Amino acid sequence: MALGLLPGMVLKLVRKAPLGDPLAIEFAGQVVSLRLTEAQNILIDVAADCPIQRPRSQA
Amino acid sequence: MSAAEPGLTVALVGNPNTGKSTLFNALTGLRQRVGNYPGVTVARKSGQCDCGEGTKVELVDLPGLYSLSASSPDEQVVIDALSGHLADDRRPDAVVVVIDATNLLRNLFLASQLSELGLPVVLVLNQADVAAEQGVKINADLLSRRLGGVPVVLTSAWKGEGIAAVRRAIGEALRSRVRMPAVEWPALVEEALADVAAGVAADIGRAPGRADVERLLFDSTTSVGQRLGWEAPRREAVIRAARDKVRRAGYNPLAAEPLIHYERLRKLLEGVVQGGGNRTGGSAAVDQVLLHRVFGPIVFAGIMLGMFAAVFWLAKFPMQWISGGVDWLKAVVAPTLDGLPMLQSLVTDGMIGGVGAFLAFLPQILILFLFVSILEDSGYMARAAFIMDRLFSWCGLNGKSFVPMLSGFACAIPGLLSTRTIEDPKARLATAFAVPFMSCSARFPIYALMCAAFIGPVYGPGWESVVMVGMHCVGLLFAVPTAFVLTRFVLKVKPQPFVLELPRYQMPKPRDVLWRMWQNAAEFVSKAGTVIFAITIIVWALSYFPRDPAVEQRIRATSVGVASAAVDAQVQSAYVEQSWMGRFGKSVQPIFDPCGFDWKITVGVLASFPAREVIVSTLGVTYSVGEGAEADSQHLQQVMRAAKWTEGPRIGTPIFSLAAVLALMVFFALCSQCGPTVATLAQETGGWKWAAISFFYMTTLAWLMAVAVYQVVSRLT
Repeated sequence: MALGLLPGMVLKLVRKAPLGDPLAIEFAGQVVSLRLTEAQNILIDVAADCPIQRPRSQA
Repeated sequence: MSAAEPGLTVALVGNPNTGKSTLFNALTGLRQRVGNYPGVTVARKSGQCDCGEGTKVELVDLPGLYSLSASSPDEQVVIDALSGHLADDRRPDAVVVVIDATNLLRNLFLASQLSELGLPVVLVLNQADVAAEQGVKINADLLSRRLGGVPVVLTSAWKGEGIAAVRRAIGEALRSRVRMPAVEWPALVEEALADVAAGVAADIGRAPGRADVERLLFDSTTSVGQRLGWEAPRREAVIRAARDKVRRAGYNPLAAEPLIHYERLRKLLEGVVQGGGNRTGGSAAVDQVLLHRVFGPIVFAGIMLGMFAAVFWLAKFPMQWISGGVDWLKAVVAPTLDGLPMLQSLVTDGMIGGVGAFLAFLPQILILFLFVSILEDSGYMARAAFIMDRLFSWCGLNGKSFVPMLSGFACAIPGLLSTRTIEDPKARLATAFAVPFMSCSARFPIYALMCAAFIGPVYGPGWESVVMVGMHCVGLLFAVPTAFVLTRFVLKVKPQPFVLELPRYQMPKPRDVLWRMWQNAAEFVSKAGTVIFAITIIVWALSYFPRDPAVEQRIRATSVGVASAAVDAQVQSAYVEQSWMGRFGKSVQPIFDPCGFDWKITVGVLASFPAREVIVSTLGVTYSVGEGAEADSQHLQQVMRAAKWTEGPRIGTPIFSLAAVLALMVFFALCSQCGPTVATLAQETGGWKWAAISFFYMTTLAWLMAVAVYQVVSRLT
């Protein structure tokens, strides 16, 4: 929240770390690393142009 | 500052990665003082800043943070410092908020929170040059007008642009005392805040500060209640009722604060910022390689290998110069004290040796911090943590534990100092606990001596290298479960969130890098240095006294015609045997008997507390080979191979059996036989408690494993 990750924001999964965790997520012009356990708390809608239709972070 | 120095204090705050330290260095011109905040291991940096027109202020560089919701000791210090709750610090007279001009919205959140403190504010929009390159246009005048006239300055601290304007702005803020308007809370939230304030006032008898009230209402965990002395049951009831009000206003109470602030800031920034589409462009391209699934770890391994090689090998040369210098100094000083053997030994072996002992660590510390500073300032450290995090997260550590643990293979002390880069205090403690297990270079001479004397000649060079490599892994094998048990069962940490900004890559500024390297070295010398010196003197005294001349006369009388060097060696050996250290060693030998150590090895173990490698020269003395024995001394190796038990059940058998040799190596792999490390651990964990726990834990573990190895191997062979 303090990093400015707020409801309604567009997130982009930039990449995963070589071992699959954590994730690098881009929002509001910055890239932030989140562990899967933290990313699980973020509810997302998959964008229409997203190549992956069911990302694991939604679980 | 102390009351004896009245004057103006200005605090420097900001998000991490805003160039705050560079700005601080530019404003104070390195006229800085570094200390510690009482009770916590957070460095307090302050310096004098000239604001023109005769105004000189004390500028305090507070740790970087994203928000006032404290979760780490660093963040707590900022909050306490700004609200005037630190024991030795006055409340600052003004706050300079350093803001990354390329990410105004997020950075202004902290400024917006700070507006509640009611202090005069200066906003410094740093890295304005980068923002301009990205096509971001910022209307600083408009922003200043919308914020009630607080000074807003555009700077590039890296290039040294705008520094004079910051000085003027601080002076102006101190004169005009313009405050940033506080956020306007929705009516129900305002009411909830008033309820909490009333609850505090009713229970503790005085009105709390506005910022404290907000922390109580909005943060799920905060120490503000304890600090105010507001009792938990009453507190919880009041806060629960107030949070219900926030809920009725349509906000999740724990998310209300950022939502409302960001809403305000978004309106505030309308028309202030224009342009700027591709803000992560350049760094994203670099990350394509550095965080690549395959190349990322390769580059990472390369950088770490380079760093390790530098700490391990490059530092050898200055370390040799230092030990050469120490030997030279001893040789120069010794003859001047020829008539006074006790003073001679105290000065040369005790004092000069003690100074030499901690100076020898300096090259490694300087080189490691050169790398750490470059990695941090460039933005790569966050990437390294990102790559490594998964390997460490399962045992309660995080990606930032890697660098301290790797440097532990060279020397635990720089490794411990570099745990400061870990924000999460529990992960920091667990890492500090694990670092001394890494097989440092001081263990090497012991392994080398044992392998060269006993493993190589009997089992061949193949086994010799197997044992060498194996010994380097023993520590790691125990460090990881230790960290796991410590975090899971002792500290009982729930998996901590590890949210890490991957900042824009940036060229490190040489002045900042060198300055930080120097500051760390100075702190090490002034704190750990004195302890190391003291330990060396104490161990010297224990091995020197009592010194009955009759011992020497008896040996010299009975060995007429023997070469004088051999007699000298025997005299030394006899003196150590009847010294306090020797007597102590003999009396505790039964404890080490199950590990297969005789009293001579036991004395070596005890006397090597200043530094592990000392055992080699101690064995040289106790086995009558003479002073200054090294691991490759053929003479020492021969004597040790010939040494046999002269009493007890093992009489007549070699002391250094395979079992005893392996047990001794395992003991040194695991024991906390290094005073400087214990001292540094105490320094970095803010007290002797964890240092003592670590010492007893490691020593017990080392003893148990040595006993296990000796008992098992001696039955098999």
